[in-house]
Amino acid sequence: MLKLLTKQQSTKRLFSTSISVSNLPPSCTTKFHPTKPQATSLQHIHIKGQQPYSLGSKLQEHIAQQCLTYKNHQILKRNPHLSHKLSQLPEPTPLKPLIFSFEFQSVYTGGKREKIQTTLEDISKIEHLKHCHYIQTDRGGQVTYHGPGQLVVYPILDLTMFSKLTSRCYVSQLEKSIIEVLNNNSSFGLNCQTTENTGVWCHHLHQENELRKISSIGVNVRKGITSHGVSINCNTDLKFVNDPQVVMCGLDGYKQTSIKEQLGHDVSLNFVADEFVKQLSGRLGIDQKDITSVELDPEEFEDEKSLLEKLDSLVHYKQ
Amino acid sequence: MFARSLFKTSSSALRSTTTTISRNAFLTCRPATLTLRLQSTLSANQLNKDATPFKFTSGEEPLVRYTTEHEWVAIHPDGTSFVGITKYAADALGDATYVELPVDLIGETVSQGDTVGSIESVKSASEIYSPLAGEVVAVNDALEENPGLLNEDPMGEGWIVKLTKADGEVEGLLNEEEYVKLLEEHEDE
Repeated sequence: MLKLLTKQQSTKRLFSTSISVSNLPPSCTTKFHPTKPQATSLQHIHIKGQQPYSLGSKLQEHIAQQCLTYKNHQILKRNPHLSHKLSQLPEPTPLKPLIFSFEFQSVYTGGKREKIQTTLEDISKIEHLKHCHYIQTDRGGQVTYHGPGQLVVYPILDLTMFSKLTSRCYVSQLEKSIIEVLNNNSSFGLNCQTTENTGVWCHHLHQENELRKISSIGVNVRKGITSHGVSINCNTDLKFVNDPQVVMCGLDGYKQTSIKEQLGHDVSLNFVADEFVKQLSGRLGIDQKDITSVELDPEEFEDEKSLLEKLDSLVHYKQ
Repeated sequence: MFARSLFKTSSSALRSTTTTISRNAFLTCRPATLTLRLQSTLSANQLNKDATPFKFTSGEEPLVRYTTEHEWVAIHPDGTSFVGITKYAADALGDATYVELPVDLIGETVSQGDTVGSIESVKSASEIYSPLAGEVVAVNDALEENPGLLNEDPMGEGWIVKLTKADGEVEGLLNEEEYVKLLEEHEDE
């Protein structure tokens, strides 16, 4: 369980304490499968280069909003009282499930509860201390760090298009996919697991008694549409996350680690992304042959509009 | 394993408004046991008759409606309405660890479909939408200190937002029967 926080006179804790997480129900063991044709194939887009967090937000929101428009249309259709309104609206385009992967420039981000719990004073202190920005987001979870060497993956999909996939089960599938990649891929062979705290934890240097966090999770769900997702420490500079003055994920007293720290050498973020996509898709009942993977370099587009158009062309489902 | 033990319990247990069906059993029931499941779905997703949203107007029952996104609304004769999420939704989310209450909307008018907060469980924040248009008069502060109340009594003391002069499109909302039918269709997928 969590260590008790000892009062340290010289250090001021800058973020909220965690609440103790009581026994969670067992993680879902059902096999999932797509219930709609548009969910039977998946697009993976890896964005090349170290990008500002704002680009990640923009791209995922662009896709999520289209999913929501489509969803709202479906909701009207399903509602016996309102389906007469449909004739007034244009038929929106269905989207395939999409997984974005990114590498961001250094940033701290806060989940929804940090809107109240982290003050402006706290934010300017952290920005001053670590020389990088703090950004408020709409995902679950508390404070986390993104930066060079860390893989960030955002699956944007409609949970209701997969049989009985609740948000709780979805988070569990994310964790299981990460564990499968880190433990059972011959390139890594780590010893990772889940605990009562969300995320993926690694037995540090295969020791039984010390767990360090290697992957964090924070998801937003709107009418079944997911956004945000997971981060996996590949070659992350751990000084941003193991500083006692900054509490990550509301868990004081726990350290983070990275694949690099465990293996002693750098790993390829692209490789980890591809393996994760394969795992998650498999768990959602999507065949490997139905996964399309591309790498997009924002530098190669003359403006944001053309990048977004390219995204749309990849994600729109053609019947 | 859980499904089998569920159907050994007496039928009187299933008829009570607050059922004790385990989460896993509820979500993994086999089609052969549809009737029993229907009964339990119906009673599990009704308002708790001993709690505030139901008892608000003494001597009169509120009108209860549902959305396809698993919110419920209890509309009282004076226009005061309580909004929450159904037992089905609370179970699907898992244990709530944090409820984002729309305190900044108190005194403001919301439209039908506007976001009125979110519920976090296992680091997943799920947004809640207002079933009706109206003015937000209160949020359920009890959820701030005790998010677990949402799972304990989602159709009673775990209400989320209170609206007044609530109006509009009650016709767009589902009645109890229609909501249960929707859940059935969900389960059959």
